[in-house]
Amino acid sequence: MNININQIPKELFRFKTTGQDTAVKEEITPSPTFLQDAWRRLCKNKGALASMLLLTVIIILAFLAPVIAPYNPNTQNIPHANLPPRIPGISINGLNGRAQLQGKLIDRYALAKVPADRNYLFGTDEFGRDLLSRTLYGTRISLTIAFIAAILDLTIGVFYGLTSALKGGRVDNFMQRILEILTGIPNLVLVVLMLLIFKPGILSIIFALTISSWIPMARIVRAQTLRIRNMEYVQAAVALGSSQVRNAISHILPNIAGIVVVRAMFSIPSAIFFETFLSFIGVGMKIPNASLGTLLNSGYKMFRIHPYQMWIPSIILCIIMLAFNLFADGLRDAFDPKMKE
Amino acid sequence: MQKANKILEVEQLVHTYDTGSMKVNAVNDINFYIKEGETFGLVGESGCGKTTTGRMIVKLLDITSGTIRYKGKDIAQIHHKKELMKFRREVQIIFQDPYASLDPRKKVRDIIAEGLDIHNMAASKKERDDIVAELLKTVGLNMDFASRYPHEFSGGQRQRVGIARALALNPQLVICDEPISALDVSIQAQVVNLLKELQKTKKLTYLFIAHDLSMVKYISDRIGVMYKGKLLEVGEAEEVYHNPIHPYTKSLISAIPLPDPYFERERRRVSYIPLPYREDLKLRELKPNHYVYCDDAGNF
Amino acid sequence: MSNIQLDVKNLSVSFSTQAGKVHAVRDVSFSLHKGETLAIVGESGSGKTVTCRTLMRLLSKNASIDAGEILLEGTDILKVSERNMRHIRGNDIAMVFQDPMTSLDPTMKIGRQIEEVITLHRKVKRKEARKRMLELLQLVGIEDPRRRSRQYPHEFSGGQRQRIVISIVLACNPKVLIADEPTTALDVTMQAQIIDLLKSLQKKINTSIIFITHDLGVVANVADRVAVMYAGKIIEIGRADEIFYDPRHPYTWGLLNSMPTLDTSAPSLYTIPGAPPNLLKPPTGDAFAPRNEYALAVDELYEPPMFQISDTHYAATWLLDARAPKVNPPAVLNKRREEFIKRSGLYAES
Repeated sequence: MNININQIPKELFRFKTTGQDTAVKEEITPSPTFLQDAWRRLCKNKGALASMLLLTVIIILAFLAPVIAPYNPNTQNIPHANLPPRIPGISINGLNGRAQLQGKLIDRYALAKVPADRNYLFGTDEFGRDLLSRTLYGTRISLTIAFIAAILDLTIGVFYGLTSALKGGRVDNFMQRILEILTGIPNLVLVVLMLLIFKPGILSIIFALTISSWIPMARIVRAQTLRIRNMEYVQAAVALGSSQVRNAISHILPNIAGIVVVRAMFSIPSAIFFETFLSFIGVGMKIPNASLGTLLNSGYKMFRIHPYQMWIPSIILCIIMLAFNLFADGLRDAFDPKMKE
Repeated sequence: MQKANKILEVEQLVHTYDTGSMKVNAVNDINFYIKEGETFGLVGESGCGKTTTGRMIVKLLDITSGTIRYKGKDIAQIHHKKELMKFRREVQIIFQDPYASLDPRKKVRDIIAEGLDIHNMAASKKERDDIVAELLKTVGLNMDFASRYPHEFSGGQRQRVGIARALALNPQLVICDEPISALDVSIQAQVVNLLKELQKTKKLTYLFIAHDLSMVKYISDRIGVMYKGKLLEVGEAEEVYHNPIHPYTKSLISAIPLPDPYFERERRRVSYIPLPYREDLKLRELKPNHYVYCDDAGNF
Repeated sequence: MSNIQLDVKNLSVSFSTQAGKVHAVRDVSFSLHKGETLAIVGESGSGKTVTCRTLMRLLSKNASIDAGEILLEGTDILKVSERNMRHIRGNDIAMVFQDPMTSLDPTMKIGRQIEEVITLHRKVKRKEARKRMLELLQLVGIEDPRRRSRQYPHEFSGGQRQRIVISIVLACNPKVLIADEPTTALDVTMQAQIIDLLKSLQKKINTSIIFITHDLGVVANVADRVAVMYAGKIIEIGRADEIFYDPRHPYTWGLLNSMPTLDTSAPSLYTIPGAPPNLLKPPTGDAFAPRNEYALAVDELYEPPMFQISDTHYAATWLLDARAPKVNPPAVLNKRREEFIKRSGLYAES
């Protein structure tokens, strides 16, 4: 920087030759789009990234259950009942097929005369069904229910919220009162009543889950729509002759997508939890189909004698819940850094 | 100029906001007209109702009472879809905030072409792209910008995109709602020059809303001064600025900051204390084409 | 030089962002005399706000002060501990922001807010603080202070809120007051009143004011001296008369020229083409060169130093070098200058 002014050659003190650089170009620095930016922020969040990978693995395993499950999850094999996990090559007590029986540690597999090449990695339940297969299938059912419930939430909530906000006036007022009434009904009572009328099963659980869980989504969408509707770019579209439906699809939805997706991500773990809860108290999935809830239900009865029957589904449930929450948290921060704190 | 048709007539226009506890007249019984091809400047402090007036003219806000006639037709009576679409094509608006007025999730091409899409004015994708490229060129932007997102642009560039969007439909009347207040000084002049040039080449009529009085004076042929929902003075720009009659206009003009320290040191400001509302106050033509809000005797 | 209240030397501030390091303030030096008003003019991104936030040490986390010192009556406030800095803020340096609501607590009556500041800065009794609060409200022109002190910020208009903020600042009696675009959100009449208020208060308590704005009209009204910033640097600094009537930097010419006055009737306004440079990679040479119609070949290679024009007037442009071709400022500015000389007769050509 420290140049001697006097050393600058005199020839440089002339006007720049016109023509080459005088055409002024306003330069634009390429900056990431919204999604690129969100992705970058998500990648910075270690917890969310790990959760995302873990969830991907769990989801793939669960949906490949028919392919990878070693046994039929519903086939009973009474002689092989209540076998503890046996993982070949591992000789830690609890994972090698040995279990306490009348105070003594004995090889249950030998006792049940299980062939040496037949291993139950997660053990078996009281009817001799393979717990690994049941856990895979159970997770699959639980995840399916949660995903469908979340999608229904999203569709109904977004549609209801948008309509309410855009129609405005009396329609809005009426629709909001309906929401308030629905919120007032105790959720559990409603669900139990419904499951008494309908046959227990996937469909009725999904229905029960959806009936009240879309309400927060509808509220959020309505609030966001009201905000964005008054933005100048939507006003500009109206001035160009854009109809309300067109506004909703082309301006409002893309701009609230981030918030909606985050909200939907948070509703997945709560749907899983609710399904598990229903199955656990016995109004959920019907026997013999497995879900995380029914596995827990049968596991807890055996907890004192065969603790692995409860430990395994509990751990899976915890991992799924934690991962979804961490991931949704990370997504929220990625989509809207200001919402943090 | 004198013979030009009135493209817009505003009569006894009122807009009332309901705040829940009380009703506020944001625009309170104003009257003015705009002639074809001219620029009508509307000035006043923030919250005086000038933006509300602009939004009513483009039918973004409902008229509480009074009439706005565009080319002789009451715009409140435009219900038929075909008629409304024609009105939308002919009357456009440019917004103040270049950051809020462009959809952040859309590429510049789609922002500018939005009007074309709504009115099915481009037969093919190729034609659409050509029109967009032409518009970008008109507002002085590079064609490569079409596939970028608005957040990559500076304020001045964004405002140009907003102008291109309004021009896409070949409008006749453009409401410029404080189009330069959010821009930097060196960029303001660029945008004002662009607007003036477009007016010449495309034969546009402007309603130019702003609070920067020297800029409004520069761009406008005639000027209206608003204060708390009322239009206090209307006249030729030169006339209003050099021979203001209403005390509020006098106080406004006496307060315009000028880049001249000597002048600033010497200047004396006039302060304005509004009188209580009286029934007989209305806009009267005190001099030819110079209207002032006053009573019979010329009191304010 | 006991007359100097605040001395900023070679200050450089940068921000680390995702895209890289943004050099927001590049080697800025200026001094502020006791009781004067220095206006810092510049467009958004020129570094004027960052400079002043550095004076208050109120920079965001990703900012770093790369070089320089800020001497407040001889002590470098960049080296002061955060604890002592808290004492300096308010007592020695205070700030008025563009949006008065950012400095007022919306849930607290304004009387209490002012009293709180008074008791915080001076150990006085509640009753005395209250008396002082009412005095201050009176001083900044709030009518019926007894009643109004019991109201909340939202019950005041924008101009009145700014007055209240100024009264809070006065409660601390600072040596330096930084006003960051305090009138930008107000309309012309209110703007004039707030500026008059600041000026009259300055006379009373003899504070030095740094006034940040982009409005040259306001500058002409308030400033004793003016610093023009562009791309993180001060490119011209001098007494107000020198900047307005004898500007030397082409950017200053452009700014002054692009503002229409009531008499402007040219078919088009003068514009500075293009947009300010990107401070992620500050250009070598003169940052203004790409937009400068008088750009010299040397501008692209070397950054111009500050050339001295008079005791008080400096400008950073190679046009002032002895070897550079003679360039006359735009006609409008010449006319204004001649008029001024005619009117005042005070200012002889240098």
